[in-house]
Amino acid sequence: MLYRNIQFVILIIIISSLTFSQNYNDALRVSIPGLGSNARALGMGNSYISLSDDGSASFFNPAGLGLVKKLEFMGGIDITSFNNSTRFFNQTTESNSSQTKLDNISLTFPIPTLRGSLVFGLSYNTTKDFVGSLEFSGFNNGSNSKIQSLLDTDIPFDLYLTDDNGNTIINGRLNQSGNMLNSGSLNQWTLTGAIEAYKNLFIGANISVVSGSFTSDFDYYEDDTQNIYQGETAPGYPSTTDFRTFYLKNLLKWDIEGWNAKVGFLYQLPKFARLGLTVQFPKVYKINEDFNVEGKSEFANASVTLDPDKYSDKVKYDITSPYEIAGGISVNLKGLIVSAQATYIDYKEMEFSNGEGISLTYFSDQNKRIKNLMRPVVNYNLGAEYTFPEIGFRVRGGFILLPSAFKNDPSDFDKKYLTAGIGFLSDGVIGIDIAYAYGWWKDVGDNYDSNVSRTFQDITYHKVMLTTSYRF
Amino acid sequence: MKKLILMSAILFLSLQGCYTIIMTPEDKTPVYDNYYGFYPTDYYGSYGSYYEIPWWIINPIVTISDVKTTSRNSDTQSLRNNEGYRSDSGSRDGITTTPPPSRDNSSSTTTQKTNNSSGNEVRSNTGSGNSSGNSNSGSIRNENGNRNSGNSRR
Repeated sequence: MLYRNIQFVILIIIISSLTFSQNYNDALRVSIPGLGSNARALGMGNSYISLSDDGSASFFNPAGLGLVKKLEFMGGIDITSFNNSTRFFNQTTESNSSQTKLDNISLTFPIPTLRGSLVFGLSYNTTKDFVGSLEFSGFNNGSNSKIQSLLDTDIPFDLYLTDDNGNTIINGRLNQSGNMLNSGSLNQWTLTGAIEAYKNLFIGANISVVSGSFTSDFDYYEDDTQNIYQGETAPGYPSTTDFRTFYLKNLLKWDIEGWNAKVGFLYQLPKFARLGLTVQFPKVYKINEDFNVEGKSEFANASVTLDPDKYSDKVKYDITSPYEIAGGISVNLKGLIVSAQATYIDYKEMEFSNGEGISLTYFSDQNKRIKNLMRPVVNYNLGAEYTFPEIGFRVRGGFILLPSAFKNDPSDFDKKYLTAGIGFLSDGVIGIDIAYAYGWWKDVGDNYDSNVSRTFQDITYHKVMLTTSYRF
Repeated sequence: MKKLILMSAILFLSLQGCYTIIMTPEDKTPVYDNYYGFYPTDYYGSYGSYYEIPWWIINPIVTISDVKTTSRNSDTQSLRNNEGYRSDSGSRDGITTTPPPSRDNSSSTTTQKTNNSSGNEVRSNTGSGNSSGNSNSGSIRNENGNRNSGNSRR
């Protein structure tokens, strides 16, 4: 009996420490590809690994850098807007978040050659943004609540929402609301080299040092709007009479470091087509996580706050992303370039490791969950560009399909983007490109447990990108 | 997987030999052959030269050891002596009225401004071929200069 009790206590302690812990969503955050940082590419739906003939080759296909024949300086900015229309218990709430960022600086230096090509480049790219938002509010008539879901932690006890034995009179039927704001980005410094190894066959490789940050600020409320809980939530403590509000704030901050490497091949059929192939080796992200919790319970004549130090935490761990293997082709039809590519990613290969302050078995379990929940996908990119030779003006269009990483998600959950862009050349040396991307997809989120307090999200995404390049 | 790809790349290069030959300062600037041609000027206008013409052809690397360059150096030196004479003819800036070097009709102020020093003038003249195509080092460079400015193949 004593042994069984000890087992139970240990289990409670483990579960308590893991309530806000890392899970597959954290691994997905850094593993799903971003939209990159080149306006010409984005205008063509990022179907660019078979073109890549500028400084952005470091992001798309390092072999493409071998096609650059002039010294090139490139830079750009982008503006991102994320809109989330969230349905929660038949109420719809709109939210929005935006971010403006310098997304690209690159310097490309082709070595003079008598034959072939040898090119080096140094670049800074924003590979992905973490912009996101969520707002919801609705009355949950079920007999469940976040307070109840947290009974395996000390939070309800510390907020005087339970008796001395950890039991609560709260049994759902609360108005639940919340708002979340995400920000940050993944950036990388990349050193790239490319060579024409055989006539028209280019080989390139790069190594990147990653830096980045992610912040998620989530405020969650449960309100007794129907005045159901008039008694004492903590018997023997009269100030806990007439429960009004439960509030919990999670502030998650990541400082991200890491590295990765990529190799690429590009073969050119002069005047007609280019073929590209890239292998992105798994990216290793070192996450320095700072997790802060604040909480509060409000009663008719009193309120109680949590001790933030008790529930806040600082940990370190690694996330490894899957291989990304991509192939593409661009065909040149007298001024019209049509481009297509496919990228294979097996999200089951995502992995947590090297946790400091996190048990080994916890990450082992999470890695098992990743394998059970995720699936391999093939991303598709399509694009076209037409040049008006007389005026040095180009128009572009494209489409991006990023299937959901979750096994049983319907196609509504796939991320889809329509893109468009223009480009023009000034004095034969300054290229200016502008792109716009419109994305849409669905998502769901659970406040606790599974499908008892779920937000159904219709997301639209806008990105405007400007890239300028100077070749001399 | 990683090792396999790296080994494949190394094996490929070692079997084939490397196609690329790096240019040294002693090498003559190669003739631009446009064999890549993914952006032919007919369909891509000025983007053709933007993507296709190497910078070392537009801005050629020149060495002073070249025999041809040495002879031109002496020609320019004689013109410089004449400039002193023309300066006396009433023009405030005698340099601008100096006839161009004998082989290059397109020589302009760029050439004349740089001919103050006999030791450096050849480099300066050659370097200015970027903008005006006035180098005597070969007609190919002049063609490239024109194409760069969009006059030739648009």
